[in-house]
Amino acid sequence: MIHDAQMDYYGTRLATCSSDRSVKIFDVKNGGQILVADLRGHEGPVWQVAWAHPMYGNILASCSYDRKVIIWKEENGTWDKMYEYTGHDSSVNSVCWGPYDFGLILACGSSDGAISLVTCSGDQQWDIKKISNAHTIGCNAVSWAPSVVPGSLIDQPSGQKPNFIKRFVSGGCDNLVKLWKEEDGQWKEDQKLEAHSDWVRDVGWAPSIGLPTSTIASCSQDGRVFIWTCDDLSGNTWTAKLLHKFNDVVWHVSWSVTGNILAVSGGDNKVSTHTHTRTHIHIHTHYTHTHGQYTHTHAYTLHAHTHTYTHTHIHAYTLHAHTRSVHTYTRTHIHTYIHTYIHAHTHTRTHKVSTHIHTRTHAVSGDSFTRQLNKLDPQQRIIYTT
Amino acid sequence: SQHHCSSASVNVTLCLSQHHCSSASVNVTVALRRFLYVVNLETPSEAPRKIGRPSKWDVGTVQWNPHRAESHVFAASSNQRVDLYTWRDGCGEVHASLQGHTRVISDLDWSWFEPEYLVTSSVDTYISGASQVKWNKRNQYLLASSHDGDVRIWDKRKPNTAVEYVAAHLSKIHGLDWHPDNEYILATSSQDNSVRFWDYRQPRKYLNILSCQVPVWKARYTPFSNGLVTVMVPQLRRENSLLLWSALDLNSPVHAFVGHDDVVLEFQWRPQKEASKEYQMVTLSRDQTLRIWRLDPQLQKLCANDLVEDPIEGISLTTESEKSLPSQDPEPTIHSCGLPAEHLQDQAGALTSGGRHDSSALPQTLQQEFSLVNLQIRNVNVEMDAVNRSCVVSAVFGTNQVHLVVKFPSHYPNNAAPSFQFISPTTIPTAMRTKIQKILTDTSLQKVKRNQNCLEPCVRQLVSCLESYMTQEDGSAANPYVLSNPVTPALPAFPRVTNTYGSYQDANIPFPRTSGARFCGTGCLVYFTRPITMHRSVPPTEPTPRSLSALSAYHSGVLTPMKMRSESQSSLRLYSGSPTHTDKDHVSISSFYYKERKSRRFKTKREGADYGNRPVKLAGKIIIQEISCLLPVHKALGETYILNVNDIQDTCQKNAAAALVVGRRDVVWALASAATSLELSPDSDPDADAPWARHPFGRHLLETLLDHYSLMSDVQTLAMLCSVFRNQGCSQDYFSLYGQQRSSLFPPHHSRYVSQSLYPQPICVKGDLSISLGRDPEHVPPLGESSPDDYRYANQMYTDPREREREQHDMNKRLLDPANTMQFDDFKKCYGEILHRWGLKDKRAEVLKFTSCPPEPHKGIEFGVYCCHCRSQVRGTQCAVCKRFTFQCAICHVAVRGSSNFCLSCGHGGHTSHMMEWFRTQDECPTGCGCHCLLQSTF
Repeated sequence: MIHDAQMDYYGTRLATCSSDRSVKIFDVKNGGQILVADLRGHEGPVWQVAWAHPMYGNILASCSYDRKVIIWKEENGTWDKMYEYTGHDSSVNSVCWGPYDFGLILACGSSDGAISLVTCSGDQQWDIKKISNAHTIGCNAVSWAPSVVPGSLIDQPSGQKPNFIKRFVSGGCDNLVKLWKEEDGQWKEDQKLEAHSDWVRDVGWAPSIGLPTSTIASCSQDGRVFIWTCDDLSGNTWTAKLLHKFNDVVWHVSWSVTGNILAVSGGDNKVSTHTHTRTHIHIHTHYTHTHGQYTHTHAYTLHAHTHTYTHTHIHAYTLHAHTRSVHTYTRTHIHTYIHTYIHAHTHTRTHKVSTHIHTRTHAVSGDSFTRQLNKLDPQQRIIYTT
Repeated sequence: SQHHCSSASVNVTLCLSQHHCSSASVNVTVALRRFLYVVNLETPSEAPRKIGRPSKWDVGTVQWNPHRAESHVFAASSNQRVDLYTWRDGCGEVHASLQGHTRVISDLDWSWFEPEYLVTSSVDTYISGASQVKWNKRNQYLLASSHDGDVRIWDKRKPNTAVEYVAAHLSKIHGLDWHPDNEYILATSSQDNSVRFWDYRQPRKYLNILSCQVPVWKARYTPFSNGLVTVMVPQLRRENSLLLWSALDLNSPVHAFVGHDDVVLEFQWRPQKEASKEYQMVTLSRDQTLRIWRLDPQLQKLCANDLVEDPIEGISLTTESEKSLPSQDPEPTIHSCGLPAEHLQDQAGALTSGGRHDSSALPQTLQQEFSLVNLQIRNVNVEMDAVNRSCVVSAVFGTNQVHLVVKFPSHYPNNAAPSFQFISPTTIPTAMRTKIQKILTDTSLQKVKRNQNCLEPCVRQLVSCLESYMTQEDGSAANPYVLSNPVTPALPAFPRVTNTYGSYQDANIPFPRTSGARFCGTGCLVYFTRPITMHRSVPPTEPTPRSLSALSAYHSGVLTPMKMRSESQSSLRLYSGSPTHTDKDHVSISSFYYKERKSRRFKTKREGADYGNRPVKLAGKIIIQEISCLLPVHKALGETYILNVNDIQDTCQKNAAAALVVGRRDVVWALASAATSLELSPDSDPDADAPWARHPFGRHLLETLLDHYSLMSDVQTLAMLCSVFRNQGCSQDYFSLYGQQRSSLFPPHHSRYVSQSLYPQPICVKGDLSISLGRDPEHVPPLGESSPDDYRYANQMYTDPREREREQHDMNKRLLDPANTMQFDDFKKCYGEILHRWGLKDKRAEVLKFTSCPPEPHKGIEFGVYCCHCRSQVRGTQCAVCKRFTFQCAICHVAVRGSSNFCLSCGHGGHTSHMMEWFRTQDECPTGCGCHCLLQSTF
């Protein structure tokens, strides 16, 4: 059973991890799939993998039920263990590499309630900092803040290089989302965000494109997905917005590279009326208007049916577009029909920027959106792993 | 072939009758495949009695009834049945058979209290996957059973649920034993290289742990107090695997029982003779001997020794006993029993049952190694030639043959590794040969470095390589070449898929994700789902459980336990001995999704031929979906957008065309083109017309544009716009201007540091001195745009109103608000990252060229002394590396200590007094290097 799949920085390699204790790396360049490495070393199911930034080389971290975190490195084409961290007393559920500006730093969240920060201080020296009892009962997810945190940069004293503030977010079995910040080399709890009514399963700090808003998505066993935003420069006021309430656990959130699309995945879902649904992946597009609030709920629901026929339904609710409906039928080679419905519904605009811009916006974005929808053909590559 | 198989997985069980039979003898039962042997330990030289068995199944476990009245009865399990034998007058017969289990019986145990109670464990559905079961020795109702890594405590009177769960180990538990005196304490030994002691009333924390380097096969309490005997699964044969420990001090074993040449398979305590203070232990090894060990009171005392309570006495006792130990070493009664020999002989092949060597010495010569090596591996034949110091390993795997010549150098094994060479007819591909050769060389080097023999590890390594290669080649999970490899179960690539979930401590581990979606790279969504064949075993109305511990609920009843246990069975077949067929399907978390799987498979088989021969995939698909069309950024635009600083108009037009090509009818480039046209370029005179930037369609328009693209997260357009308008409004060459500006920002203070230096003499100077040295004394007003820092600086520094006005005007005429430069830089950096991901490094560099760089923070000046001869940093007057004076005075040629001066240009100098004197009259360097020191520096 696969528990995580992640591609590297350039999107040329895919790492997967599974309950058979293995981590596999596939080369997926040009549509092919070649098994590059089968990394054995864990003694339990492997929950998550994470690629480090390529400036440090080809480095992959994996965490497992066996309480270990293993950092793998490729050298001269062969993958080897670079470091094994065994400082946790229970299953390690999440690993996440920090932005490259912070150096080679890995955050690990474990069911023993602690979060470890493993830093490579050069030449095979690893420095460990541990936040004990970060989440009572257990920590389920960690995610780093982007290094580009606007606002913090503007107020820098003159003549000084921006001093990156290392921050990350974590979610745990205490139903809390917590923000952590490094101050004078010590990790301190910065914020405690409370909204979920059950275990927080995943958190995701949205990548920044330079706008003065920080965004975090969190999802929980209670089926709720919250979007947390912070507009003020000090980073102290976070507002929660319920994105959607699903009927089953939501265990993964993932942001697109520009931070405007969120993919949400979870257990079986009864929101849908389709009888053969197995797994649903929801992609949410959201736009911020000038006040930084989200003006609509969800955009795409991508249901991947694993049946004889694979249906992919995409419901799109767009903010500015005219009503359109596009049907695309594509057939792929393995008894699989990709059946794509795209519905675009009109939503009323709830905010105005200025009349002048409004018309232009309408023309541009409505048009470009149609173009995008038209082009949504599932160029799928299907990988079987055994 | 059946016979061959049996030799590969010999199942030997040893059991001692606890009581004297009517004839006052003590019996040992040794169970082999087809026969049960009963040995009378009183008369070990007598031929053992044989009990024939009609069954085709191996004997699982044998145990004599421990009660005196029933001591002629023993129970032997065989597949799903337990046979009760009666032993009378030298012959035994089955008097009852107990049937009830639906799977192989893994263990049985007679009650310590009631002679008519026998407990059996099996992997069938009543108790999921119980591998060991033991009655409590103090409480007649309590039982303990092991389930992979867990222990469950049961009460006989309440069989429905377990009294307690103990999540004891991460790996399979091989051995379980209750404390002889304490009803709450038990010891577990496991594959995870540890023995743990538990008080089952506190199931979360073990009382104590005994960490071993190797998996522990059995750990049993001694009948006397506080002792513990363990049998390890050694990596190397001939290591001491049988150890006696004191439960009070687990740091080092009390005693190692040396003597067996091979792995100890089983051990039991012999009932104590009346009026005898010593205990005896009987061991059965794969070296075909039974040994009886005497544990005299001295040794017992060592176990009971409480070092903590009475340290002084303890130490003295220990040393004393150490001295006396050699003489009192438990003498094993070697009993080269002829009984199993006839059977074991054909298994052990070349090894004769009497092939005894000095048991303490390792085989040093090649000949010894050859004679001792155990290479009874299926399909492998080793021809050894000790005279020529070589051997030929031939292996046949399916259609492949491998022939390998191993040559041993004369120094072997003293740090001299043998060479490996493939000879024909080897059929495996060359790449594989090279790989195997490397692996073998590595393995052998590891061994010979420690002066150990390497033939056997190498051959086993070769076999495992070939095996995995075969599996890879035929691609299917069904591998007929199951090798029994009991000595080195740690051989790589055992697909270990045991399921240890569902135990108590998993309550706070979240239920694993079985699907997920993740945005990767720039335009990919990677998502994976549950495999087609996996269906939830619960109705879809029930939500997914929260924690991993919920899995245990789905284990029993739903899952065939056999599947869960496949790994341990195959890797330790010889030990567990159950002839269970091992299912090769790797099932793990699947238990939750299991139920429908079967029916699904069944259904598909019925459905049609195209599904019938397709192996059922247990891992789901991973789908990489191109979703770049959903993103606001566009790779094609990334490639075609240009940034030509010299011709903004042209840049805008070309970019507009590029956008049109990909279907973007963006007006933004037309707007940009218009706004950057020359007619609108600002006047440098502040008194002329208001700059275009102040017009509503100037800066304001641009701001709204940027806001719009921010809203869409279109960092591509944002970065491009910022770059295009970056240069707008400044006529000077930005880069040269910038350089000047930077230097002007630093107050001219550095020279002071230099002259006041009290350090001996820097010949090299660390730090950014060039700033002060190349400083232009004139202030250059910061024209053009720069970072807001400069802006602030300017406001603070220049008091001349005209300067200020000019400055203000420069700011005003720019279309991009200078106050937000940092943010614009962030856009560019983000876009640069995306370009990097796309592999467009040149484009990235082009964009990043437009970011403003705040001046490097001045790090301050730090002086260090570097040796002028070898350039290494030194402290003091003498270089630690080349032993020369680091700094000689240019005048007196003596090493300088204390007050000194030097020229920053040529680096020469010396004592301050000498220098002062010299430069009073001269202006050139005293060394004659031609440097005009006084002119060059502020010296």
